[in-house]
Amino acid sequence: MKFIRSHANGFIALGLFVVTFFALFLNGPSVGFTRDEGYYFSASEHYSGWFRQVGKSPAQAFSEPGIRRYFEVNREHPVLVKNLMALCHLTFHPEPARVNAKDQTHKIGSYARVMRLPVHLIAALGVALLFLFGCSIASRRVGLFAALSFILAGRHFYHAHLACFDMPVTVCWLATVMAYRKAQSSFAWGIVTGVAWGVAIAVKHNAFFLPVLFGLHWLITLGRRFSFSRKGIKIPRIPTAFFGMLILGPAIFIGHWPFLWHNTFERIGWYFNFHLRHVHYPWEYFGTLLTEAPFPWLYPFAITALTLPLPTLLLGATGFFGVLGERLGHPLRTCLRRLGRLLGWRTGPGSETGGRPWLDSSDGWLIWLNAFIPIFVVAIPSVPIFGGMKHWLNAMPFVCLLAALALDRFVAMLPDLGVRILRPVYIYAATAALALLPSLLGLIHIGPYGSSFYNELAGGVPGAADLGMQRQYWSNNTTGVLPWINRNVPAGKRLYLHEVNGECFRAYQRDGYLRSDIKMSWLPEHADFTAYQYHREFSNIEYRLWQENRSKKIEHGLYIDEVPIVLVYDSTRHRPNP
Amino acid sequence: MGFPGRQAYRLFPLALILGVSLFSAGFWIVDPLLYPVVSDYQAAEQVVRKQWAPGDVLVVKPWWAARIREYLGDLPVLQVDEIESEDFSRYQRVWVVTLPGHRDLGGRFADGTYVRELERAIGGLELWRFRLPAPARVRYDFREQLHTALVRLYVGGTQKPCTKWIEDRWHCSPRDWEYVGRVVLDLGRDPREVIWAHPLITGPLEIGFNGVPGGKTLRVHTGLTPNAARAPEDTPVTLTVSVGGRELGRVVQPDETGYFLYEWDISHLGAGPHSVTFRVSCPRPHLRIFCFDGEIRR
Repeated sequence: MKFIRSHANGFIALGLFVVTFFALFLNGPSVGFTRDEGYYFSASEHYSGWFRQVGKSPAQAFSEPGIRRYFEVNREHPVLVKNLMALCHLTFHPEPARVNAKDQTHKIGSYARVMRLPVHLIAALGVALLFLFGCSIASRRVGLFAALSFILAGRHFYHAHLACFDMPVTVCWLATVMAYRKAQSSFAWGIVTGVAWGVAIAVKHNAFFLPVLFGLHWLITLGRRFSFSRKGIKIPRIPTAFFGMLILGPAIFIGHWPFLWHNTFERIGWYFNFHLRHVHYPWEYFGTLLTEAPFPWLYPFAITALTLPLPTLLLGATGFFGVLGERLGHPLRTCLRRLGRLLGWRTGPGSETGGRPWLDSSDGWLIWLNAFIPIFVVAIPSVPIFGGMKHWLNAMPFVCLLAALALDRFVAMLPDLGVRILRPVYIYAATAALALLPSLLGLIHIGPYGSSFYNELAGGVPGAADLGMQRQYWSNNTTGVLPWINRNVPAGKRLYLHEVNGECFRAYQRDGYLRSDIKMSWLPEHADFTAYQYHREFSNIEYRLWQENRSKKIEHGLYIDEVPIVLVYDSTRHRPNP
Repeated sequence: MGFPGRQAYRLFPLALILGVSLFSAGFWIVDPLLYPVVSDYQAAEQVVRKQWAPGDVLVVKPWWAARIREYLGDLPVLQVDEIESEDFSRYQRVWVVTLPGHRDLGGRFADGTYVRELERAIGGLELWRFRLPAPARVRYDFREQLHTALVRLYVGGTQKPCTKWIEDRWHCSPRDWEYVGRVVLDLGRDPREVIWAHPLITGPLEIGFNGVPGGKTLRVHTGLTPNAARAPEDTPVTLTVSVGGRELGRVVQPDETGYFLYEWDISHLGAGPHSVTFRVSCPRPHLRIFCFDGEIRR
């Protein structure tokens, strides 16, 4: 018992890990395949060939042609997650040919489970890490609320399912920040920071912004120690983490990616060039289809405001401005105090809790910068915005941490009534449970269609449709109509699954979601049945069907609160028989 | 116990969070219960089909509520963002199906111009039927008659007919935008059944109709698609309408998306039959996705 008590945080972290993992693992097959997943599935299977080749003929495997043969596919992203997927594929599907397109006997979603397994583990680890981070920054209850509010947010939970890089890079980002914080006073943690950052950049390019963020943190917190005098320039101590990142980061990045082992600089150059010149995909935003930069700078803030569960949003914003206000120091506090007096408050913010600070300077800036910088980057009008909030998902653990701190603050503000049941810990627990309830209810309501989730402020999915917001992306919601298609489409008919790429179509058939006798069509005009997904930029697909079918009749649809997400059209009845 | 009143403000932030949490939880519990279920649609279908008459049209509010088309999509259905400002002059009656939160109808629906004949709440749906003023009598619909049109383009001043009619289109070249055809496209925010007439770089594009009956007015709608309006090219497109070889009118379509109405009196031209020509031209036609429709009204 003593052991459990002394390691309670560890056990809670383990519990969060286990529960999150099983929630994702069990729910995983209900979430359809996203377009990118299709590419990553295909790439991972390619990469698994290289691992087999290493076992059979290492010399050939490590040669330039040997590596290029397997790793040229999907070279626009590092391969850490895809390699893990490849290893899972090798482990659980030793003979890929056995997963036969005609074999309908295997359980639906087993392929998806295998390929998504690494991300489910990483996401579960992220929840546990966030809890531990909250514990070390503030308290156990802060950590718990941060972890739960993060994973229960509809969009976050959705991204945690996918065999993509957004959730893994978020977790690696968080791990790097945690290590960096520890590295302020430890050489060993400086090394760990370097390793963590190396792993993060081996997941996705977002992590290349971390050194900038740490640099800012260092300048802000230790900048006063810079000095110029006759004696020379005095520079504050440079954190060992910087050296660790400088040395270990590139080493891990190149080391993990066989494709970079030959023609290294040319291929790294190609990689950066790809992301620096990334195309823009259209995105519906308040009734306007955004197609080209410059994009509205408010975009990431507005999307966050409409997709994060309202209580978490409110608390997160309070924490964000509370910490910022505290860090900006005396001038702002004075202003707020005067404003408070004008509003009839005797004292200003801060004094109610006995002047207890939100966080110390270093932690305050660290959390705040991590909550702000990823969102700020996307607010730059030239940065691509497609993909919605996944592009700043790495900010959200810190926003949730700020939310937890704000709730802690509000509870601490309460006057002591001397009643046992009204002790702060109980009030915190009760309020936290109530504040998390909408997240849970929203999550249950949206089900596997997380890319369509909008919060209570937006008015849910119908409110977002009224506002003219992007209704979905990545095509995974198709699974909502596949059971109807399996039941109703005659044998051998051609099906156009709008926005679903060939890789995903094959994956749906291989994994038992879609009957294998149904043929894939690339155009609605060539298809007997079309499952159209509402996207403003693709509305002409639906209109072409109206014209072709001479009717607007829908056969079936996936609707969320009556908002059409995927609509099935039957073109056979309008066509003359061949 | 009891805390000093002056410290009551300390409760405010927590009370706010509790209030917001309760509202949010209530939202997820209550809101889904308000929406119609399948049986509501089935009941609405029965009512509409039983009383449906030629000249009727169905609209939904909000515009995105598509599920009704599972049941009544074979009937004339219009999908428009603002039904109050929609031109229903071709129709005798309008059926309006609404979802919760979208039950406010203004304009001619509220001022008595359109007479409410039926109002029925069917679960989460509300069904209304309005009788409209006497509908316009359309004598000739150019889009409908497009298959009879003579389509020609000009290359270096030489006329070249487009003779291949395949699936609603007169194909003028292998280039997939050089055709004249029946399409449904967004003009403004709403889908419109129009004629695709992308201007050509080689010269004007002409769409001629023979044997067109006379009438009181010739109406056209023109517009650029949102894509075209967004494109960097901003050259206006000109549509010239001629009857019997004489110019009746001209529309200079500015660089904006929408569904713009133009109307000319043709009562002085007699009962016909007439030959009507639409000539589309643009000096720099890159991405000028121009569409129009037209009709002769008695």
